[in-house]
Amino acid sequence: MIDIGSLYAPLLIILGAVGQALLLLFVSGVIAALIGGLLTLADIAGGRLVLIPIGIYSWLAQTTPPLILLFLAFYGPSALGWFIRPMTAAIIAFAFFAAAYYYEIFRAAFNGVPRDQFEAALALGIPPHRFALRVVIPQMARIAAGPFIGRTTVLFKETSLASAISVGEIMNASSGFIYSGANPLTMIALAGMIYATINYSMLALESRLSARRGAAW
Amino acid sequence: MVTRAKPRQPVAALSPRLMVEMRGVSLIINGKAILNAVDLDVWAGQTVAIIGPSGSGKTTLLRTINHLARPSAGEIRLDGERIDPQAARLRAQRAGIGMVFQNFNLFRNMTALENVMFAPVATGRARVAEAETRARKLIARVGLSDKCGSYPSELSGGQQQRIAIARALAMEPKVMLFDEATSALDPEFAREVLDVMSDLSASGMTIVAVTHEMGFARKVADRIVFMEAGSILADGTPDDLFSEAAPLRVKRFLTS
Repeated sequence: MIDIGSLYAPLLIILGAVGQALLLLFVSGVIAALIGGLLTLADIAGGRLVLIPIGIYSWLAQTTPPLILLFLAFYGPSALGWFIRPMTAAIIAFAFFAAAYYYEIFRAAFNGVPRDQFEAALALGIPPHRFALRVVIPQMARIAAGPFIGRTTVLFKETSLASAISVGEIMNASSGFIYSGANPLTMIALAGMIYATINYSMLALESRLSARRGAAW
Repeated sequence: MVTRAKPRQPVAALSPRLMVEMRGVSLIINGKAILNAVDLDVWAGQTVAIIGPSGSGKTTLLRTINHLARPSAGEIRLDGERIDPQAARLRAQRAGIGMVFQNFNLFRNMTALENVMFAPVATGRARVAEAETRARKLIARVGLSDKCGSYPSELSGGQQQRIAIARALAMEPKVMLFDEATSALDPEFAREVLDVMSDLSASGMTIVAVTHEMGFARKVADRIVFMEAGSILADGTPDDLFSEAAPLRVKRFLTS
């Protein structure tokens, strides 16, 4: 016999944990997308000198395990005597990590925009910023949408690592229940279902949006 | 045999006006001269066909006119005004030179109408409503009124190229440059595009067209320029170049 009243407190904890996980995903995702966008701009507009540091950064971020970045962001400042909240450290680590992937996605999307249009814009005397806003960015967005959402679902799964520095997200909450005697399989299955549902929603939203744009371009 | 064909337009004939003036235009890439000190004058209202074997520099010559290819040396004037490589000046001057490309180069995320309206609005030459009215007229002129709302991917090659011509005309250019505008098209679609080009020519537009269409060069052009190895080898009326008196090299090219 399950006592309904006794589920109330755990439910609040789970909802809070989902909130923390989404906050971590959203803030680090937005920062990463902004940095990724700026890196793409620097890559396109800048010379070869810019490409070297961007390349090194991108390589580092993509080859280092996210858990190491997470520990670095959390224990690094602590070792230097600065207190950093676990959530702040997690946001920094995931933004640093994801920005490199987003940059690669945006850069590939830029390369996918047919070049002949650039020549037409030059010949017509269209100012570069107008051309970028009205032609290049919409076409990049269309190319990047699928990989961007795909990468974001991976980022969301990776935010579960933040439990290692005690960010109160979904995995952290379910471990808490397990330590206090809940059935481990039930708790892990529950956490898994939450990740799956949220990621499925993101993927479904993306395919809905790209279907609505139609196949004309 | 450099003969300057008279412009056919009576108005232009009263006041012959140099629309494009190229002096000693050279382009050297990796020590190889793609263009070799080319001189070329195009008068207002003239239709000039540039022909010659592939690799002779025809397209490059055309592209130096609006500096899509930067000449290494020489001077180019558009309606008396020197093409200025400084970015903002160049952009303004390019806006006055219509260019039509082999592969149409339409903006893929824009409808036919938006493609034609975009440049006048983006360059601040027209307000949206005004640009739209003009765009619809130009699209009607190339016979595609029913395709205003279609995206490039929904149009045939010939239709795309006609929209590309309308897009260039929307900037009210002083000269239209055609870079092998029909080379990527099946003969039936090429015909539609050539018809539009002939109409433009007849309406008094100044045209420089790099072309493989000898029919167009012969019937529509006032003047044919034959290029080889980065130089102009012959420049004359179609009658001159298609005559027995034409240089041997030209005759060999035309009969090959």
